[in-house]
Amino acid sequence: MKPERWSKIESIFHKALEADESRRSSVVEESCAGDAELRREVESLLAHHSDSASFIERPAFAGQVTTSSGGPVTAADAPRPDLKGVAFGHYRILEEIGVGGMGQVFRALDTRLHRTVAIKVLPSAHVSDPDRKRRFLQEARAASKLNHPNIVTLHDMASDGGVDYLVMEYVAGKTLKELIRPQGLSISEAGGYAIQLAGALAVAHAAGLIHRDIKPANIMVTNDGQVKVLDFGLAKRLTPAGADSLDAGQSLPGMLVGTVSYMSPEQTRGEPLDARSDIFAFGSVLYEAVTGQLPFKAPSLLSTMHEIALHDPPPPSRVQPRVPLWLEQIILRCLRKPVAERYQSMADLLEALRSGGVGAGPETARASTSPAYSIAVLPFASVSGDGEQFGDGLAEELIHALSLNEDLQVIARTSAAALRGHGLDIREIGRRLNVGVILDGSVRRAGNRLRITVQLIDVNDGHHLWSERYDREMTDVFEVQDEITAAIIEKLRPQLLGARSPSAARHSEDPEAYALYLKGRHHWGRRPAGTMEAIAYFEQAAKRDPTYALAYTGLADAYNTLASWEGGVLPPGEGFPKGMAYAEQALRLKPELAEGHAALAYALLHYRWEIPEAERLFSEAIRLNPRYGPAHHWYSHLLVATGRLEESLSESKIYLNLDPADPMSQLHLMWHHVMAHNFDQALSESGRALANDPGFSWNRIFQGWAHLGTGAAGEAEAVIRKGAELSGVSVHLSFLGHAQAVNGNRADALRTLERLTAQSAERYVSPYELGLIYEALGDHGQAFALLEQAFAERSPWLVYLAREPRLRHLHGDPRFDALLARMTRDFGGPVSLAGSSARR
Amino acid sequence: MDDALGHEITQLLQAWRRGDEGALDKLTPQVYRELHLLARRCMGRERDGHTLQTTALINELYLRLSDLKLIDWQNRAHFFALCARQMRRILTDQARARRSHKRGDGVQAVLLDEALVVSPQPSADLVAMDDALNELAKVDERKCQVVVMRFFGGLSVEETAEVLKVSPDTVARDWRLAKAWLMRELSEQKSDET
Repeated sequence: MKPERWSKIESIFHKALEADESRRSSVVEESCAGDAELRREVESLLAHHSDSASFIERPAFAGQVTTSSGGPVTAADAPRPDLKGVAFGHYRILEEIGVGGMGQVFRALDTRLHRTVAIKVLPSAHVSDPDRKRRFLQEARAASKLNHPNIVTLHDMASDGGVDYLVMEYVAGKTLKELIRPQGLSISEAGGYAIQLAGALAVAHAAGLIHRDIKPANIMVTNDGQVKVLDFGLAKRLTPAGADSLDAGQSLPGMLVGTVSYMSPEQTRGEPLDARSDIFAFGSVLYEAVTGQLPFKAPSLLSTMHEIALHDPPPPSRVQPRVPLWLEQIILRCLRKPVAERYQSMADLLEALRSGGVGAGPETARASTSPAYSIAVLPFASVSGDGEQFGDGLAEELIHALSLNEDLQVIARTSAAALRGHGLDIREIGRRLNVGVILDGSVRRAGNRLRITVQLIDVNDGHHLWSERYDREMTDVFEVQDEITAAIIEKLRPQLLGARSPSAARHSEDPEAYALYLKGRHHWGRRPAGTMEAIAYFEQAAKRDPTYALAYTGLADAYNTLASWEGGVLPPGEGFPKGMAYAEQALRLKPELAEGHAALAYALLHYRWEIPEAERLFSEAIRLNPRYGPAHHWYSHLLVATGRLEESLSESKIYLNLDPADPMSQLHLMWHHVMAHNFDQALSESGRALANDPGFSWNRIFQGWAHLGTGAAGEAEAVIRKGAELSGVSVHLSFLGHAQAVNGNRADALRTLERLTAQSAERYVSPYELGLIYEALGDHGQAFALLEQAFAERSPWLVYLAREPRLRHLHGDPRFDALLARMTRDFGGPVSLAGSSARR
Repeated sequence: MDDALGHEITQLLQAWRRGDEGALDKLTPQVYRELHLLARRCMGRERDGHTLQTTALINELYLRLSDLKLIDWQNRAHFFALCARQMRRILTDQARARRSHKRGDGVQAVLLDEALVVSPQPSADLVAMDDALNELAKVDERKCQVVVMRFFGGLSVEETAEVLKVSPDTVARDWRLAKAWLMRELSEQKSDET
């Protein structure tokens, strides 16, 4: 076939598929323009398009896969016999309760002993080989000798009418896989399961048995929180080699991430295994239990193995900040690649867990799926006029103090505040934030006197767990905070393990300075509109207490954002040097401030383009306070700039987890997807963000940015116009001009350009933004002149040059490549842009 | 890995990294030979009643190549491409051997499958698939590559894009057309047989 012919077929094929199904045949007819042969060709391909949802969607080596609904399917999708009511020996089948790699599992009645049992019917192929069967029986005998409350007891192995089956203790409950929530379990809940699991494994190992396939799907938890390990020593005997690694849990079509995820490095190499392989798997399970994420994850089998073989997982506290250091160390030690560096026995591991303060026993472990230990603190309502920011501040302080308690999942302020404004009732707010308990209160201020009322509400039933009133002098503000915090912790203590007494970290002895600082942060959270007010408050705070480090971090952040697109009103050369100076001042006063490190790193990244140093500072900020959202937010920016998109995604998600309802954190995830060129994903995020906050102009701009990426210029122009109308900010106007030009509305684009040029006479307009409009208008000469200007003034946009989707038409132009090369050179250090130049 | 072979593989890999796409074609049989040796060695060991797993095999190969410092995370694409091609060869050869064994035409299968019991999808006729892919390659080489990466290598769309140095969109479109093309080819083969 001639290439031209083939590409014609190809383009008609895709065109037809993109069209509405009802219009498909007419699209083909039109496009083929009477060429009957062509039409036949395309139509026959289209006819086979629908049946292509077949074996080809799964990797060739996948013996079996799991459907997205979670139920495993056999590869052949063979209908299974309905065995209900059938008798196996003296067991009568009651119902099917599952299908696994090992075959069907039933609930059955033992007609002699009148008890319920579980029966596993073994696939005939695996026991037909006498040698295999003998080994299997041997293993089953050993497993049946295990007698431990946390191991599912094997009663019998028998054969009836040529069908081999196992008879086991019947356990009602859920698997750990079903119980793990996306953000992980609380430390005490996970700890409770871990102790029981470790106890079970210790006993088995002492008896010379290893499990070989520890994974959440093999760990049952009964309704009263008791762990029961399934398939001891049997799992790997029964699954076909090769296929056993592929009973994918969360598989999407064509994407298999299976239990290879829990394999030890030596296991993936097929080496002989010992107890330390179970220890590795235990580490993976515990990692997932506390973070909600797999330690080694990648889109395919190959890259998952790549991860297991060569890379260390991200420390659990990076994924889920509430994971305490001692537990992180235990998990990471289990996951060491050389076996000699792991715990050498389950007994050692148990001891480490216990000395970390993890309690044992089903009474402490909870099997409930509602996060009862999660709490949201709503901003305190102000009864009298000027108590508002004080109330915000008090809530913030309480959040901070409560966050120090590692067993409590505390939802950040912005998220709670965002929902309060919607006039929802407390229980609805609780449900939206997915918390078990809400702390609500009010502040009344009269002169120097304060009256604070606080109440703790159970989200499930709206029940008041506790309430209290405090009358205090304004000067006692910190004492009041400590008192309230301690009382709340006391109230929750029965459900908490290892609760620590909170100590609030504040950095000024002057309560007024502190209140001013909180007001400043409040306004900065509403940037760009609130930035100037924020600066005024931070300045007042610093004036009252010149040694108050946090006040300077506020100033640093405010000036940094004024000089970048978030504010976009100061030239980089004016804003960033101020931002850096304030950050440095804060760090001189308090070297351990995460806020100071993050602010300095932000300026180094965007203005000085000193990537390695910025990265060091971001890491330090995250180490100092893993819960400080902006550190994750901005670190993700650095990762995008250097093309490390997977890491950026995970930082973006941490930021979102820390503050799920903050419009900035949602916006940021959208930004990540745009810069990663996952435009469809950005669009689906934008839908969610818009629903939450339709007035936030950046949402629309980013949505338009994503549309530009997919080539939908019309949609892009429409949404960007709405966003720009909402804000009138020059950055948004430049997006509009670019979209208009791309959409072919040259005259409109020129008008927008004029408007911006007129604005630039009065205030700063970034040459980068103007350059983008010229680029879209086709005036590359002017575009490059402006990009050069942006380079000269060290525009913060330029660190993303390689990834900017609006500039991808310039890729390959020697002027663009030269500019990119100069950026790379200026990046210094080991991190380079070379690997990140956009793929399209 | 024996040194001479290791050296040759090293050179081919380096050539490939420099952009010599032909080197990959030469590399594939070399690595296959290496796998063969490896499988035989593994057979000799007591393997806990297990046959060598697909995953184990790939990982072993992987570790060997990375031992040679040939593969770092930046060019894992090369590794993926190699593995996908290997998987195609291994699985297809195995399927052919089974077929000839069934027909009893006396061809002694000198193959990996003694040591390598991977578990291909029972529903897939891999021999027919291999033939169809060869046909597809004649029409459109890149689409054939996309199928090798996705179907035999199990790679995601993004990883495939990384290997083939095209955009994920292109891979998705190629994949869509290639599947339809192959399904048509396979159904025609089937109707020819009956």
